[in-house]
Amino acid sequence: MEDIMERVLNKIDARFAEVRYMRIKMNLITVKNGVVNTVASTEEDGFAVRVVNEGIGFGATNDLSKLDEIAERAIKLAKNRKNKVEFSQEKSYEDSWSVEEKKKIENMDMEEKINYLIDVDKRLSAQMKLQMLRDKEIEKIYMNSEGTKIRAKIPRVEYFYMMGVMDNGNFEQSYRQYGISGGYEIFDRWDILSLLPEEEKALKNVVKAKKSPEGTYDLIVGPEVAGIIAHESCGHPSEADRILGREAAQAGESFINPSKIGDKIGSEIVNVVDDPTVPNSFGYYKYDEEGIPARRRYLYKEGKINEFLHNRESAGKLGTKSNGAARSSWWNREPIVRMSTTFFEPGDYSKEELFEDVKEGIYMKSFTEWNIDDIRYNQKYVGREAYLIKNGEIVEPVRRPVLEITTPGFYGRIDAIAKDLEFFGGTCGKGDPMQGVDVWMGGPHIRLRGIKLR
Amino acid sequence: MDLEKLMNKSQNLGIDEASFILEEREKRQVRFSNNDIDISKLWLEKSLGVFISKGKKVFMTTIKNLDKAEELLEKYARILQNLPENKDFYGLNPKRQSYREKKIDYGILDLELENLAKDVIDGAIEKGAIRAAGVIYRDYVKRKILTNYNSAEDEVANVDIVIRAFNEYRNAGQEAITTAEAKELEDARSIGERAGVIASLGGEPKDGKEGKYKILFHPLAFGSLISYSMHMASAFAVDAGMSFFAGKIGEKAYSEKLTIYDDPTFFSTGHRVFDEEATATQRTPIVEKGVVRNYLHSYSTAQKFNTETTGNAGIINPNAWQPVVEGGNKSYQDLLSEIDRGLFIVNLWYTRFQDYRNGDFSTIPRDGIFYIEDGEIKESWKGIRVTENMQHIFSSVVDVSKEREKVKWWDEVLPSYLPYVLVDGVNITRSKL
Repeated sequence: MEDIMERVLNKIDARFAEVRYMRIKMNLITVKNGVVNTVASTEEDGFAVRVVNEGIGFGATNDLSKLDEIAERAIKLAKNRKNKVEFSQEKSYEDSWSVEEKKKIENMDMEEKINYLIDVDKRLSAQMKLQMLRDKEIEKIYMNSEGTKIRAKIPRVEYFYMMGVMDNGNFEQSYRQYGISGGYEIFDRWDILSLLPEEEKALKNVVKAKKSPEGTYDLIVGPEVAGIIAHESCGHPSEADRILGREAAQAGESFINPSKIGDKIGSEIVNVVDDPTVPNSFGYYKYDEEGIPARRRYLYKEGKINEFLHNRESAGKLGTKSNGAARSSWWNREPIVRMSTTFFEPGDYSKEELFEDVKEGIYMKSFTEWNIDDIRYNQKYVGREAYLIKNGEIVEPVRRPVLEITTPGFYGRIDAIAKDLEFFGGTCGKGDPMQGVDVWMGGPHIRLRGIKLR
Repeated sequence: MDLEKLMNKSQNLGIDEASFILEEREKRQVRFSNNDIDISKLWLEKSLGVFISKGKKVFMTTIKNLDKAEELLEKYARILQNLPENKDFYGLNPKRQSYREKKIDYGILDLELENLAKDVIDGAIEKGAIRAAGVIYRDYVKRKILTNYNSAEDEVANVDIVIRAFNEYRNAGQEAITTAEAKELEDARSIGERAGVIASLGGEPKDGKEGKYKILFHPLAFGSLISYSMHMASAFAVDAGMSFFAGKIGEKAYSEKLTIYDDPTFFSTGHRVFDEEATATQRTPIVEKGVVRNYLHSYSTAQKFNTETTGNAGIINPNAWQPVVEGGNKSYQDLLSEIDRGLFIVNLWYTRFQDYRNGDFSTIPRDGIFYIEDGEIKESWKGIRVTENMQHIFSSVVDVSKEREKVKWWDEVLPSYLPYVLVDGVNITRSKL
């Protein structure tokens, strides 16, 4: 395969060119209300060629006989720009990397996977139950005209559920996604057989609870809520392609502009990072999809806007270096700026200390509905499992507290961050055509003072 | 690829029923931002969609390496034997089908996408925008299907144009159109002009205010609400307990001004001749003058619901092809003039539900949010959210315009043909800090 890719690469006359090959084996099972609904299995591979001259041309095919054609057409397509595009200058690398599977995907047969899902289903009495289990074995080869050549093997497993309970005409729903880079040791890390009955129990309590009170309260958010907030209102607005307007017609832009590096965004104890190198994280990688080594990036540091996420195109436009944030979700997608594992760094407090100091507050342990505007400034999170706190104690469950807040409003009211740290899986959507990439998001328990809730 | 040979092989392998869909696709894209082209893309892809069953055991896959199709089929047949039964599966549609003629405008294939991009950018700038971003797609697909009972072929081509224009205050306007007819793109510049006009209209947007408003939704904005609702009109969602349409067949649940079809017979981007089990597609009323008439069905889900297929397979999970909402008698200008104190919203994004069963959701207006007083645009707004219930929205439709537009967009807007829709008493919220 590498010989074929090199032959194609050598024929391309351009300022920069790359050829990418990806092979994916994937299995998918869904179980709906106890019925095995879908069993699917796919094997596919394909090539993508990207050429940079005045502009960027991109071609992709899963038909080896068309590889030369897409390369030739990508060269022609790279001429359609008024202002010449400049990629950042980077070193070349040659390396191979892989992720270890403790319980190999290939050794887990379909029957065993199905039985696990059925076992989970039998432990639940919720009126609506939907589970999905997917594994992927990905092999990649990347090479470019500057001599970079990276080979990678990444196994990934993900589990997703959606559940709904009814009580006296009231309905509460929840969903959650767990994922790792690795094998079926995922179920050692997260014991779904125990976790889902616990989640169901919590939902059954919440569905009977009274509506969360409206007013100004101290707020403690759990790691799941901290994670989605880190992802939505720190990770996304720090993506340099958004900042530069390249995603303007789709996922939008950013309230941050290039001159805002160093501006205050929140209290001094806030540090939010994006780190592709967290071992076994769902979006783990050693090199990005442009062959740049991965590293931890401090997006918000000590309450200030600190660093953007870059691929070579955005870094070139801003006269800096890529920090290894280029990802493509599939063989037929261009590498664009993406997150990997985005989280609040833990602080100094114990979880108990956060609660002890709250006279009257709300604990939003997890979330259901959420959204954020397309510059990542105005956002909303509705609590799923939530409780009223009085004099440092959890008093009772409350239903659907609503936090509608701006980004500086949230980060500016943080007064204490706990030592704990937990991650949750997600599929981040961006790009056109859409590229769903595997990510983690997370954080510790976080306390905010004087927050308007409804 | 010889689908008959594959069907024979599947029968020799002990497979009871099979559906094979062979697709060949050439897709092109041009993306632009800051008034310049960012990237031009090309995809050449082939795939074979496979659905096989034995009794109530089912397995599905997409084979991308067609040279290995027979070998992979043997592997998948072995997997099939060992699967548990899907109690919700009742077989493929065995009835002999007669199909409409395929319909394609080959003129679509001659369009120069880069020139279209330049035209729409120029149009937006001409009308006062200072920068524009967007995407242009052209999709050409040849599709062939074979089941144990039917076979058919289809060929489609279409173009999507999305342009988002900005004024100096970052106020945006958007147009997101789709078509299968080249003649509709003869004046592409006017698409950019419309986005430019919306961007320029409101000057510097002001912070919006909370409250209940009469709102005129642009077809693109209403398309977002309709697309999410059509997912819930699928029998799969109803059966799973994830739909506010559940239990409402025959019920006058919504405003009599509201009529929603799934109509793949309408010649536009969502035009299709057959579904994924070779059932001929049809125009299906989902809501007719406020009465819920049908869910979207495959043969299998229809058997479970004791009704007829609507030609919307996905065999396990039926889906909509092309939502169409019936137009009314008044112009959208007339509807605007009926607003004493309200809003005109061009686009919505990030629609999320906290309760699928009852329809509680929120969504964020963008690309043109205008405060209206006495039928006139007073100012543009920013920073608001529609916090609502979908059934309340559908029940509160006051009227729909006679003008309809073919819209499609990146954030969950299916190719649709929709009017402007006037809705009363819509709840608007905003951030508190």
